[in-house]
Amino acid sequence: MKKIIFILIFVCSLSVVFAQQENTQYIHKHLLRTDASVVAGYLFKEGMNNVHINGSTEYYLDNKISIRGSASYLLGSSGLTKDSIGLKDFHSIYLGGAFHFPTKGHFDPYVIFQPGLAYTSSYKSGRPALTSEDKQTKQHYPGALTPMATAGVGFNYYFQRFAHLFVETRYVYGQHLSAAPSPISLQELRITFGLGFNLFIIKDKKKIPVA
Amino acid sequence: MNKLILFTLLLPVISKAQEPLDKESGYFQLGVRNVMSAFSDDGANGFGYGGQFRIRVLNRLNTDWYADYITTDIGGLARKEDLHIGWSVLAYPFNYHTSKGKITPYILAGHCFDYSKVTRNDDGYALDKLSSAVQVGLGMHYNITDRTDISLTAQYMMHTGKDIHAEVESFDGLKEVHIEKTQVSGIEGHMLINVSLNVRLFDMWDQHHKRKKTS
Repeated sequence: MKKIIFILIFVCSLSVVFAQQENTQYIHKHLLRTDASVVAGYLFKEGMNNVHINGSTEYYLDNKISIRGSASYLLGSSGLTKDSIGLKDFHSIYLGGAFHFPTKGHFDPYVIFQPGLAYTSSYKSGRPALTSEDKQTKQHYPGALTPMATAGVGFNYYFQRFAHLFVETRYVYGQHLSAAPSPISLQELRITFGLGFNLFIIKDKKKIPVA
Repeated sequence: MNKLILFTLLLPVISKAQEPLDKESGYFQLGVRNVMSAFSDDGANGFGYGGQFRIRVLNRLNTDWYADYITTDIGGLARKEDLHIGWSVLAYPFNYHTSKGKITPYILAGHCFDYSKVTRNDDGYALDKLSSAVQVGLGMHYNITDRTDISLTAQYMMHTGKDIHAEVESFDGLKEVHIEKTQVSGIEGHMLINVSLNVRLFDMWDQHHKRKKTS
């Protein structure tokens, strides 16, 4: 508990330091940021819960537009469809862009649009295991490539020269079509937050004042 | 007489040539897209992912080179996969300037190669075909910034050659899907609606750089 309070005070103190400098927008061209986080997802059409691990890299073309590539890997999924179908794989890659709203400081709110492609596979759940030595029967179906679309909102807070905090929520759209008896809707609400790292890969030339 | 005809034909080009040497041609854009396929013969709607690059050859003329992959659920009994690789010419009849906050409408026409495969879910029975198609449509770019746009396009794609037709039939409450390959008669096609995000990366002719140098 003491540790948490200490971390909170530390983060807040950094914010206070930056708050005193906040008169220009921190983000600008050539900023590169990257993050990795655990994502909680809910397939609201099927009532299934997912946990993904996600990694992103983003490059700012200017202070409003950035290009972001992301990859996510399904760590686990719980729940079955009404036909007793479960998700085994749901691994995806996305490429798209974000629009950053101008601010005067280190706060960086944005909206993001990322089309993508996923590898998805499913299984049909059989009878449950009756004894400890018994195994639940599962019929696995071949995987399929699934077109995806995502749109989301979030913000970054650049509290330190090389690090930032981020929070993001997004809507994911797709449909898993395979040899399974019925398709699985991949409409998912995802939420994630964490710590990211950032670096200006090309430094702006300093203007030399003319005498 | 021949000179008069030639002059009449060249008149639009001459009038365009008098426009200021702009600035818009030569740009290379790269983008990603999501595609919705609707109004197809089998009545099923598809969804897809793709990408494109654009090379703007003239102020009022752009070219779009794209590839997309679309999957369609056919009544929960079969699935269709479509792969398109093609190109379109975009003409800007009105505003052609790319500047922040502006809308640039366009008309387009083009051609693509198309691979389609329909697979029945229960037994894996599949039919496929390779064909080509032509497309015409309308669209618009919304320029978010001077170098980034969101484009919305609606185009009708008409296929030639063979068609794979999938039809869901119901017998005594039991649904079945019937798949067959037939020769296209008349116009067989579908509407494609795509939303894309495009970023202007560089000037291929490098004319702006040169112009800056000379001035």
